Amino acid sequence: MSDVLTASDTPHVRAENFSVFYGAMEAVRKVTLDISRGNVTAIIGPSGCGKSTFLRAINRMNDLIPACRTAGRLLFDGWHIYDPQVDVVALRQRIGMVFQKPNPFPKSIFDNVAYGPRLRGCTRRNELAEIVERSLVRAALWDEVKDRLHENALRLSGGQQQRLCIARALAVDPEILLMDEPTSALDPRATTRIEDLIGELRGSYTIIIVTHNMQQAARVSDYTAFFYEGDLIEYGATTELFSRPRSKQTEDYITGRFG
Amino acid sequence: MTSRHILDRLTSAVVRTLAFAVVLFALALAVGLYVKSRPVLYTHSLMQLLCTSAWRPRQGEFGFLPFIAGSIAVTSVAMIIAVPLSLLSAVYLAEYAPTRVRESLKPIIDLLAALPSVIFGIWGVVAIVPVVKQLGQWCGRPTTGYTVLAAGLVLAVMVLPLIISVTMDVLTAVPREAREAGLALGATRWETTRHIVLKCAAPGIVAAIILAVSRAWGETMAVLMVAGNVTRLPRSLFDPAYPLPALIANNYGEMMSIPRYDAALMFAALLLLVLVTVFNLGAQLLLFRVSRRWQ
Ligand SMILES: Nc1ncnc2c1ncn2[C@@H]1O[C@H](COP(=O)(O)OP(=O)(O)O)[C@@H](O)[C@H]1O
Ligand SMILES: [Mg+2]
Repeated sequence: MSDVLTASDTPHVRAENFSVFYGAMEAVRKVTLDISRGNVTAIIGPSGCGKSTFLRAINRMNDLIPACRTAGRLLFDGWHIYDPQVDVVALRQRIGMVFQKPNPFPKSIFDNVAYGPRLRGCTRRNELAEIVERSLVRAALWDEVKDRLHENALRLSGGQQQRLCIARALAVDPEILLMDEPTSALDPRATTRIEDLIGELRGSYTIIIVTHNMQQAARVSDYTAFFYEGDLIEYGATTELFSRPRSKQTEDYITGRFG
Repeated sequence: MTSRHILDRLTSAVVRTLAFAVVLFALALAVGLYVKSRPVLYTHSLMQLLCTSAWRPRQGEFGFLPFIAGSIAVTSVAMIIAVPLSLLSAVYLAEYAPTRVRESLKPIIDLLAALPSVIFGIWGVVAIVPVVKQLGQWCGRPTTGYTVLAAGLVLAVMVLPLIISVTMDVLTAVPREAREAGLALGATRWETTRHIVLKCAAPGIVAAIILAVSRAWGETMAVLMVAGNVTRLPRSLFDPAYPLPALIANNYGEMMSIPRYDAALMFAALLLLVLVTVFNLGAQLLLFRVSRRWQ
């Protein structure tokens, strides 16, 4: 864990007094934190505390919401994410996202995974096939779908669809993978598979996962950030945070006294 | 059985009966038209009725080809103009326009879609016909302006708000998740619209077009006022046309002393009904085939 941290000392994502507003409402309030490279960072907190808002700020998904504004600084590899010069399309290719509800396109399994590479101009059949296979293998889905790549992705089970969405995100070679409650729509078995997968992807990608399931955060993450009503209350190594929370609010939350 | 159960059963019985009654009514209509058009069907073969162009009721000649061709020409011109324009407008309004623009234009579009067609007819006579006349002169095709093109334009303007309105609703109903999936992979807004939103919305858009074709096909008043109504096979945009609904509306109740004339008009109505039904069923089937590939 800590060797990765020392391998590169610039944080992969850094927030400095970073706020997100919906109109006048400050949904994320002056958050400051560093997210280290190659680790899994969990964001926990009761619903409505700004977890998704913070996560979606990192790949500028909030741009879709007209009333949404930001303040402070958010850096990706030292670059300002909210600099007006930033090419959002390129940014989103480097920072992939997996959503709460599996959302494959109504296309074949192959076309789902090939979508991102095709956007970037990759049209050669064997090159695409190679990327699709590699991504599906990494997402631990290849064995289940290799004989039916041209079937509609919507025929897959929910858990398979979610792994397909992960494969689709991996196919564009992102550096960071954002996951917003990726297992909340799945059954326990499918959840375990996704959690195992996150373990396998650790090290190759920086993963930031929002979850309302504390056991999940404890199982999969190296670092945990606890948000409450838009504030970052506590942030640190997961084992520390769960065994010796510094803040009373964190303790109340992880012992299940509210939330 | 509790009263809630009784109410439940009663409701489903009533709904089923009503649905059945609607189907029955449509069937009764078709049968009624068929019975009434039998006199002309006895004396003429279907081939003669559908594929000849001689329309001389006094001599007992009833060739419907000019009217069928007129209807098809006018509807096609309208669709060729209206479909691309309205789809682009709907995409702009639903996907790109600021919320304020969208929300102020939508009620106006809905109002236009519900305007009585005679208003479009008058507008056609006043505004479109002179323009078409001028255009014909420039193109070396002198006309009165009452032409296929004029009728097509008026119909296009009439169905435009209809397609825009339905398509906007369909596009707005595409879940945000679908859009986000594309954007998160680094697709631009236009790529997301083209590859994902339009694909999800395709069945609804096809339904909107079917609705528009049916409306244009059956439109009587607006077309009758600008099409010229000359019983001749239209050969160009600058020829007059005489679509089926106009034929019926113009002649029903007059010249009924001519033998089999009213039967011929009934046959025209039957034709209108059968063709629009066949078109609808065909389109539904196509839609079903296409969407089943993706289920
Ligand atoms: N599109 C939006 N417009 C306005 N307010 C929003 C929007 N999305 C979220 N919010 C508000 O921002 C706060 C944080 O929401 P969110 O980030 O979704 O919380 P979480 O993911 O932790 O459940 C909530 O109070 C929510 O109501
Ligand atoms: Mg959330």
